[in-house]
Amino acid sequence: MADRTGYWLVILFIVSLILFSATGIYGIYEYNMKSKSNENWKSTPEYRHFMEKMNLLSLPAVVLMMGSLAICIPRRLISTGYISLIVGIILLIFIIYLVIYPLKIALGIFFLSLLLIQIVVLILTIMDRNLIYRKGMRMSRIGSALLHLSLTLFLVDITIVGSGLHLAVFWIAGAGFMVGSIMSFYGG
Amino acid sequence: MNIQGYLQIRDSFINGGLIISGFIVTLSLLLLLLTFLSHRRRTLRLHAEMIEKLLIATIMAGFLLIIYFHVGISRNVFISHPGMETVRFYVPPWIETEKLYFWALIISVIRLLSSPVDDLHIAGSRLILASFGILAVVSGSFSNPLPFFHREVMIWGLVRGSTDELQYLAYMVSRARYFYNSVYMWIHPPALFVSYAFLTMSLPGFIGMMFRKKTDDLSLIYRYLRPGYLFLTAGLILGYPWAVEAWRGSWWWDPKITGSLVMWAFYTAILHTMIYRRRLYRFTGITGMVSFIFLVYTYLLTYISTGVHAYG
Repeated sequence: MADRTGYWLVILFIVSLILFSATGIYGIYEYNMKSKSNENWKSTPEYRHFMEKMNLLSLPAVVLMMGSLAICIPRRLISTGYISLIVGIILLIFIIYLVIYPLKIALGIFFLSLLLIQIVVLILTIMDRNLIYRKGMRMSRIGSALLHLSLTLFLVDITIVGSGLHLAVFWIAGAGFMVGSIMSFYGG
Repeated sequence: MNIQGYLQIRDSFINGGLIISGFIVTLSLLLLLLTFLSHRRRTLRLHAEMIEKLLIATIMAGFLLIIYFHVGISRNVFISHPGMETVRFYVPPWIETEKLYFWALIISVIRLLSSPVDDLHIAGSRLILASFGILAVVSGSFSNPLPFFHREVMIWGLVRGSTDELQYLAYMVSRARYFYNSVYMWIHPPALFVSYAFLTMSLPGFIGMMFRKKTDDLSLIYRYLRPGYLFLTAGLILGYPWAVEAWRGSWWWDPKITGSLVMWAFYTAILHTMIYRRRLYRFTGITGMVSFIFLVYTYLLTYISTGVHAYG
């Protein structure tokens, strides 16, 4: 049962990546079309509209990606039913916030909530609690938890672009992702 | 700047490159031929192996020649002006027409250090090596070295002594500081090319996965996919602060960057399908093929697309 859920979560994650890729490919096409029709379009408001549109278009894929990750990793901690409920509540709060607050703030709160879950999972993995992992040695499990936490941190960081903390958080997320990947790949 | 010295070293590089190019193309064609023929005649395998080693050695010798050219550039091309520090040009050996050569070099190193046992993998990696050998030469690594940099130096030579010289020197100083000599230029592109090389070498494994079920294919993919993915991620991470520093906010959703992210998403998807490889066996193979096609497309975006990376 746990393996079956894991399988469908991985499928969901892959679907989110395909969705993101499709959005990206469309973005490449539109960027080129706009550049060809007006060489200086980037200095016009059109570029800003394009960026806003692309950010919005990629949002469902990113939310789906983070949602599947938020269930996939912490289900090692508590049952899939509970964690799905928690993620569902977070999603609901996100939708309510989306109505009340600007998109950036709603997203920031959504990603921060998911980050919190990933931090708890990482701590418990380091403490070697009896978590459900499909396979792998302790080092590899810590690596997996760390890289998924770092990916969430990247997204939190996107919501603070322009602030003084942005690059510092980016480097922390980058280092975490690299160390996590190495541990996950070569940790046994 | 010693323009005569620069032109002299460029000429000797082109002449030396002519010989190396001839060797690389001949050995690559021979390797292609022997790889196809050795499929039927096993006695030819030893010959193919020998030609392959010779090709690898020649590609490495060619890279040494490129390094010699670049050292020559740093010695002869510099900005020296009263009241300012001398600025030398340390041009990295993986830009402009040398990109594919660097890619081919890393493939050579990987091929030299690895010893696949499966026939399909051996044939596949030899075809990749030979193709990249030819592409590296055809792209103009030796016949048309660093065309944009050369044009900049030539214009510099023309404006020397004129009223435009100071303005042009300011432009060249910024080119040296933010492009050629930038620390990011020395770590971001090579990390990506190393990743491209590893990911290219995983291709025979994905082709195998489409037509057969063999654990050799999976072990080959894992061997190359893991370092390839690590270098790809590192390359993307290292490029970000550079983009923020150099382009401020005018690069979001740039085609090349978006393409790289999509490529990263493809390879992330593969790493996840590999967890359930029994159920997603053929799908993983197909995704691997699509990812490689997208890798090539992302590389070509520099040439076929507009955007901040469209330097050519």
